[in-house]
Amino acid sequence: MTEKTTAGLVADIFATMESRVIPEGVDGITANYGYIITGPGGGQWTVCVADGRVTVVEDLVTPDVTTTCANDDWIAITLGKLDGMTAFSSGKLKVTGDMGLLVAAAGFFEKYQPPLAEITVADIFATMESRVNPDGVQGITANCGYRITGDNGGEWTVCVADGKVTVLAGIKDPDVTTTCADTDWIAITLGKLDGMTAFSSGKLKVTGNLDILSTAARFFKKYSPPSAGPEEAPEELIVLKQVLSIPQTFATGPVMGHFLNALKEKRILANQCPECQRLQIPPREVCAECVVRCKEFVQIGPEGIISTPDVAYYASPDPLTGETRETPYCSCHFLLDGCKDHETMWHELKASDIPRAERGVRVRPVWNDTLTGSVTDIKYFEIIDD
Amino acid sequence: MKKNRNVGVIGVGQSVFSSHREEVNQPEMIHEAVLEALDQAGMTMDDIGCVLHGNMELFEMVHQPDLWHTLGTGAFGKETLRVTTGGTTGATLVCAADALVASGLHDVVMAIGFEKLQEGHTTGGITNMADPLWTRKLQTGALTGMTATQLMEEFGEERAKRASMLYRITMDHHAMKNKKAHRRLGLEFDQAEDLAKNSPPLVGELRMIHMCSQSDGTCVMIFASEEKARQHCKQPAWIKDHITVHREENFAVFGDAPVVTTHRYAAEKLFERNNITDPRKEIDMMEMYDPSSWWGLDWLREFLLLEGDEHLEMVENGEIAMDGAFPINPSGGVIASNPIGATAMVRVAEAAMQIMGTAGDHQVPRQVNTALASGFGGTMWTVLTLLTRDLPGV
Repeated sequence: MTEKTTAGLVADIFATMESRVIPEGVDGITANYGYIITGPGGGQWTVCVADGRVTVVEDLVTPDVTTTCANDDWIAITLGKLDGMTAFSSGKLKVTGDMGLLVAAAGFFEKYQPPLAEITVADIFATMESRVNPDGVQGITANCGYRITGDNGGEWTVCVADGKVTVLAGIKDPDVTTTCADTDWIAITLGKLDGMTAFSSGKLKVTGNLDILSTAARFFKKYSPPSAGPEEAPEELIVLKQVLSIPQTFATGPVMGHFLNALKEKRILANQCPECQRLQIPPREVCAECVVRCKEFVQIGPEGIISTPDVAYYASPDPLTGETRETPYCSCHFLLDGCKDHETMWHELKASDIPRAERGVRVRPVWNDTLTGSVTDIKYFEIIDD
Repeated sequence: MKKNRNVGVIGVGQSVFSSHREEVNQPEMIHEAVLEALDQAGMTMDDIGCVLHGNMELFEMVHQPDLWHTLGTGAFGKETLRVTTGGTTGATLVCAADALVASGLHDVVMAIGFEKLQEGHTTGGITNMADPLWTRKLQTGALTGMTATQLMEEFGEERAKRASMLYRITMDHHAMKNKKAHRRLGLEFDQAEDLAKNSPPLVGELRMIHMCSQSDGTCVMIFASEEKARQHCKQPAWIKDHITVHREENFAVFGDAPVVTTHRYAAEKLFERNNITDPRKEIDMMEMYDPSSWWGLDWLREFLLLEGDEHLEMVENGEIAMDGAFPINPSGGVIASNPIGATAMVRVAEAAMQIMGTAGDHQVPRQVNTALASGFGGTMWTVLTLLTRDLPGV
């Protein structure tokens, strides 16, 4: 907290009191509250309450109770960052006169909002190097560009390397660039606008490597606006974290077992409905259309064509391991040779083939070196080049 | 549907839906909605005969949450049943409550659907739904881009993308009127092109802007026999009929099966047995379980038995807006709020509120006599509920 940034704030707190009066809070109270605020930006004020009205005078005028306190502490109390009773108990706040009157005073006014004009985009970036969270930047090397538009905007690059952060003016070799209006950027920094909401609604635009941004939220300690006083005490809500790991074993049953066993010999089997003749891959005991048992197996593929490709750009972490698979990956339905219509098999397409993933393109399975009778016996399908 | 006696919705309660409700634990969050529903029904827990409880099985990794939640549900000493049918849980709770009251087993039943997704792992839970021997390794959680691909193939990329965004932005306009909705983004129609292009892709052309959220929240509904409903409520929303259809093999076997969808099948059956021949005229509004704006767009065609591009036209002409000819999701829909175990019940609750006239800022601006609500779950489960303002004949 510097002298420069708090200058005028104490005066502003008193100047805005008349506009922040809560009628029910002052109802029935007649008293003069004197305040002596010491330090730079301090002064003397009297808050006169009578007939449900509040008048603030810039002097001490026949106070019934007088509070003496340092400017920084008074700002912190007003912003709810320092408990008035704690300040009183610890001697930071001294009271003379009728102390009983102060109990009611806590309900006189709506919460004070420090003027937003004091928060500048430049200050947010200027304070980044001093706000680095060492755990958050560990092991990360990236340049994050920021193009903040509006009168208050500018361009910066936050360079993270070797656990250090350097903020440069201008956009310099960014791996990811965020574009956003100055007011939105301030709101996001202060936690008044959710970054994900801003992103979803198009207020915040990103080009480049999005994954870096998901780690960027942890680069810095919380930004304290110049007018905000000391760092906020952590909230007292307790959240318990647990990671569950549950070993699971599943019986395949004879039909699925037959199919999985064949994979060990690099054969892909379907079973056939004796009534409608359709093939099921993987095989199932019963045809759900005809409700009859399907006992006949036929070998299909192993080559075929792409039927429906689904390219995933976003992967959820595995709930049991916490690991996230690489993206993009292509979850894909294949129509193997010997199958028709919707008799497709679900597996993956080789990641490097994704740009060419289209219906009708011919593919073949790539088998794993070790075959265990499971879905992973096929690594993936790959496009056959002529 | 054969019914022993009529059943009316007489009270609805909803917590605030949000991405994080750390300030309350699960029973406390449920309690908010329980109090609101009791208040609206003019009842106390003494009037409630049976409490139904449901959410996504093990999404919060708490076994028998109904027991822990007794502190918030008020079910001490009452018959309590737990229902958990995946995404349709909330709608199935309504079916169960309707059956319990219609049968005469209970005169008044309270149904509670809740989810606190922040405390669990949604996609982990959904992944574990898939067949562990084959598809668990392959599937993409709750996300798929296939519907987008199919719509673009059928109607052209430009028109399909635009219609999907118009649907999305219309839903956001509705959510802006619903103070309890989770995501209220303040979108405008002139953002459509920009968002369709620049919102980050999740799977194929399914982008972040199209997809529903993960929310924390609770929905509570109180159901009463005709006699009790008339005593406690000026205008109950009567449950005329409901139907449940699912096709387990959908996700297990087929990529895109050329069979009638569960949605269309359910709608055909429901309309047929209720003598509805022109659903867009004979039904006044629909609250649809729309997990993404691609699905919402596509499913309009199925639920309303439309042909060709009629569903796109409905969106393009603004018919689905709150003041349009056939309002869809005045609540803002699932895209705005998705506490999964409550989500399907919120659909029925919104439809009921529209009939009861208690939807407040998101009340559609004309009398709703007949309303349709849909529930949706993993393997293309669908539950359709038909509610009326007039007492159905038994």
